[in-house]
Amino acid sequence: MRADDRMDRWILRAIAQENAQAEELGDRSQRMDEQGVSEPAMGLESAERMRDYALISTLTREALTAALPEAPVWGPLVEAPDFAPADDSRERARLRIRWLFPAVAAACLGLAMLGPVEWAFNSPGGSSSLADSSQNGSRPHLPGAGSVAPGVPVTMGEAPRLDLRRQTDHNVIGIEGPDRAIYLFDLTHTRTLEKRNKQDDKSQDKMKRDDL
Amino acid sequence: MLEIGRDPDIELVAAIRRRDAEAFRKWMERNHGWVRAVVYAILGDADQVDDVCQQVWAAAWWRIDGIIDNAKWKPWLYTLARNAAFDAGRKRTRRRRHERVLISSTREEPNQDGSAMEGFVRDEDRKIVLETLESLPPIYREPFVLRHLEGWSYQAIAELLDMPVDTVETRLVRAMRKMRERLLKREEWADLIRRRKNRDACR
Repeated sequence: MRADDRMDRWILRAIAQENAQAEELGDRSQRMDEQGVSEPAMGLESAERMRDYALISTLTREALTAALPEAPVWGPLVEAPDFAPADDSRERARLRIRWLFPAVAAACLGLAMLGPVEWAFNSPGGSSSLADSSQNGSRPHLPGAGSVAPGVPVTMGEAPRLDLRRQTDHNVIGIEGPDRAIYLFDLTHTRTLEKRNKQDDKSQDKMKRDDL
Repeated sequence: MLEIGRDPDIELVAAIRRRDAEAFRKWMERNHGWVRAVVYAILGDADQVDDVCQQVWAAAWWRIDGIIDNAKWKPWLYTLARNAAFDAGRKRTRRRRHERVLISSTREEPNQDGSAMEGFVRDEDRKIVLETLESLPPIYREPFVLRHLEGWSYQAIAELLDMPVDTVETRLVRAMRKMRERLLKREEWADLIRRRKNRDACR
C-alpha cells in the first residue's frame, strides 16, 4: 500500500471518528493498524488534506440531506389489485409480438377472400363502354380491383396530380356502367377470355340457316 | 445502520410473498433510506428520486417471486433500484437539453441581505459539492453516497455492493481524492476556504 493511501485511509477513518474496534475493516487496514501506523505523523500537506476532506465530508452530508427531501410518511396501504400493472411495457411488447403476425396474416387472408366477391358484385355487365386509363406507366392511386370509384367526372387524357401519381406496374381499365358510375378494374386480377373463332361463327350461322 | 445478526427482513420478505401488504409496508419503511441513496447515487437528481423509488417499490411488490432465496433479498432489491435509476437516467438525458434552457431562463437573483445571504452562500457551497459529486464515476459515487447519506459502515456497503471491504475503502479514498482534486480546480472552492478561514479568525 502506498504511503499516501495509508494516510488517506487513516484520515477518512479519523474524520468519521471510527477505529478498528468500531467496525470491521478490510485486511489491509487491519494490517496497517497492527503495524502501528494508525496515527502517522502528519506533515503540513497532510494536515491540509485532512482539513479539506473533513470539509468535503461535512458539506457532502449536508448537501445530500438538503437535496433529498424528507422521506415520505407511509400511510396504510390499499389492497393491491389482482391485475398486473398497466405500465408493464415488457409484457405489452411480448403480447404485441405474439399477436401481431397472426393478426396481420389473418387480415391479409380476409382481404384476399373478400376481393373476388366484391369484384363479382360490382361487375357492371357486358354493355359498357371501355376506357384504358393507363398513361405511360403513371397512374393515379387506385382502390382495389372491382371497387367503385367516387362520383367525380373522369376526364380521359388528363394527367393526375403529382401527389397522386404512383408507379404500379398494373394495367387498369375504367368501365362506365349503366348507372353512369365508373368501375375501375385491375387487369392483372381478371381472367383472360378466349376469342371466338370467326370461322366457327360462320359455320354456326350456316347451320342455323339450314335449320330454318 | 444495518443490524448485525439475524436479518428480520427475511421473514418480512416471506410474508410479502404471501401477499401480506402490512409486511410490505414495514419492509419498505426499513429499507427506503438506502434505496433512495442508491437511486440518487446513480441518478444524481434529487427531484426524480421519489418517482424512481415509487417505481422500485411497485416493481418489488409485483416481482417479489423473482427472489430465489429469501436471504438474498438485499442484492435483489439493490439490482431493482439500480436498474430503475439507470432507466430514469437514460430518459432524463434525452430531456436534459430542454430543461437547461428552461432553468437558465427562470433563475432568479438571490436576496442580498443578512441571513438570507448567508443561507444562499451555504446553499451555493452545497451546490458546488453536489455538482462535483455528480461528476464522479458511479463506481465511486455509490459507496460515497451510502457512506455520507446513510452513514453505513464499510462492511455494510461491501455486503450491498457485493465486494470486499478493502475495495470499498479504496473506492472511498479515491472518491474523496477525486472530489478534492476537482474542487481545488474551482474558484468557488478557493473562496469557500478563504471565507471559512476568515470566519475562524473572527472567532
